[in-house]
Amino acid sequence: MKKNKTMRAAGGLLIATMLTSSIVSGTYAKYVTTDSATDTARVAKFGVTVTASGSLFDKTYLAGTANTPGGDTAETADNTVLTVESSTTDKLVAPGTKNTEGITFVVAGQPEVDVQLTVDIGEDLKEVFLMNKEGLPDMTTGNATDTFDNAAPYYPVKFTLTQTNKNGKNTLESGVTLAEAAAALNALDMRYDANTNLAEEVGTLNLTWEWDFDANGAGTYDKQDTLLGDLAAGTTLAPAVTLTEGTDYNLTENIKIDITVTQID
Amino acid sequence: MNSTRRRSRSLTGVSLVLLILCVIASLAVLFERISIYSKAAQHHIIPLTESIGATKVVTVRQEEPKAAAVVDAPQIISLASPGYQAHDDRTVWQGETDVDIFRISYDNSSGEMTVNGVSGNPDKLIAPGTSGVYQFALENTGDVTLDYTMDMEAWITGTNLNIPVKARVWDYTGDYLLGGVNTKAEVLSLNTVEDSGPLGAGRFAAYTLEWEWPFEQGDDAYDTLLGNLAVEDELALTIRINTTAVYNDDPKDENAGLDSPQTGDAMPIVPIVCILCAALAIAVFSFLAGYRRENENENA
Repeated sequence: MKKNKTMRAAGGLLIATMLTSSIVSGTYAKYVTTDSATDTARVAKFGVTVTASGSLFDKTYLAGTANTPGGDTAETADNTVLTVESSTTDKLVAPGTKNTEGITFVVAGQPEVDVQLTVDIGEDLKEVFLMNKEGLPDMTTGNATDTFDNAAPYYPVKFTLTQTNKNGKNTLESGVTLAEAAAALNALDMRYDANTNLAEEVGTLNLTWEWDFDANGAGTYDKQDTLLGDLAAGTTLAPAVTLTEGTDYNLTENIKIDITVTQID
Repeated sequence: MNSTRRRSRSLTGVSLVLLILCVIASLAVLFERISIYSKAAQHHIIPLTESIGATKVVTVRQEEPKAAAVVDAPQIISLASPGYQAHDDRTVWQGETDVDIFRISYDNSSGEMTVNGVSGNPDKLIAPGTSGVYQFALENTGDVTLDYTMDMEAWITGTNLNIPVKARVWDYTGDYLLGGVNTKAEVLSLNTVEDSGPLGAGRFAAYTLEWEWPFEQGDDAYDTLLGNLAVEDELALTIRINTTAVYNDDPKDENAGLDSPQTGDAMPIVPIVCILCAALAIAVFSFLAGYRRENENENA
């Protein structure tokens, strides 16, 4: 019993000595210390792609109900394959032609930075039109004295703009002029927060067009169409009238679309 | 039988005396260490006093005893108690420490978040237009002078291409270790940054690292290339700051470095130590009394 108590006292003493030694020994050690601080950052992902495919106009258009661009399709001997064929390298539009495929822009990517989507329509936007004017020569009758009044500006080529994204296919504009379609494209200028899935938000933009052949069978614009065709051919108008290209009429379609996605600060 | 008891009793007495001596020695050392934080050791106390209207805030500066007075005072030799820590405003470095030189997201000048990683991904990012300032200090928390060294490293992983991040580094005196007032150097030039010097007791050296990936650095295509490569590969920039401190016994260096600013009231160390000593003394005497009673009972 006595021995146990002595041993317990000795044990307690040993533990106390060890504890105090650890405190005191640290004080006598030579002091050398090294610390380092590190931080790593990776480059934020950008990876935005804007892919354009297709084209609006062509040198040839297929016959039949399609009347769509024919590309390099060669006409056959019986002239049944193509309904419109350019005599030069120029691309054409004509009554009845259309492009249901059109031009497509696909915007994709999920950047880790804020971005601005910008649609830039070039300044050189042109489209076929015949302005409102009275006493225009009616070239459909063969009578040199026949005239007609064009009551309102006539834009024969009508465009349709659609957007397909996470909400499905949405028609932004339908049956509008090229200028109106361009305005709709410009309205897509928008800022997107970092980490936005652009394929889901912007998705696919598709622009198509059609020059209606006979206004759905009504034949409403045959006189305007014929006059435009004769102006393009350089046919002498009868009765004679002074028309200025660019003001009274225009015979070309031209659009340049730039879609840019830029990081913004 | 009596001689055995006597021998045992004397052994116990000696052991207890040794124990008490050890405890007293420990307390002396602890007191010495802790006392460096006591009120008397603080040279500049910034009172955190709310100033309302005409309220006057008076700062009382506690002067160190003059050298002449020290000569007359009893010479006390105490054990050196070195202490050192490197830290920023949020983190005390311990060994290899991860700090926040970069961030997970960045705001523009309007407060709008313009760079942000995928939700839930803790990766820190850099991108054109991002920048940051990292301030850190090397502080001598002990009572002896130290010699310190500080150097930096920077490296890029995931690509052989350079990441156009610029950086500059300056110390607390305003001297630039890299770059200048109006210039920043390539981030990999951080590998040339090194500094060293003595650090007096209670003093510190402070440094500022500023980095920037310029938004308009004149090569958008290159920035875009890096951003697109980052989609597939992890292009990363790492910055490391190394510090070392060793004991310096040169007395002329004891005022080297900035004086540590201290705020608030000091911890009342002396009363705490007195209470601890009293508690310990009571515990020891209780133990001795109990032990003696047991022996007397056994003898009886």
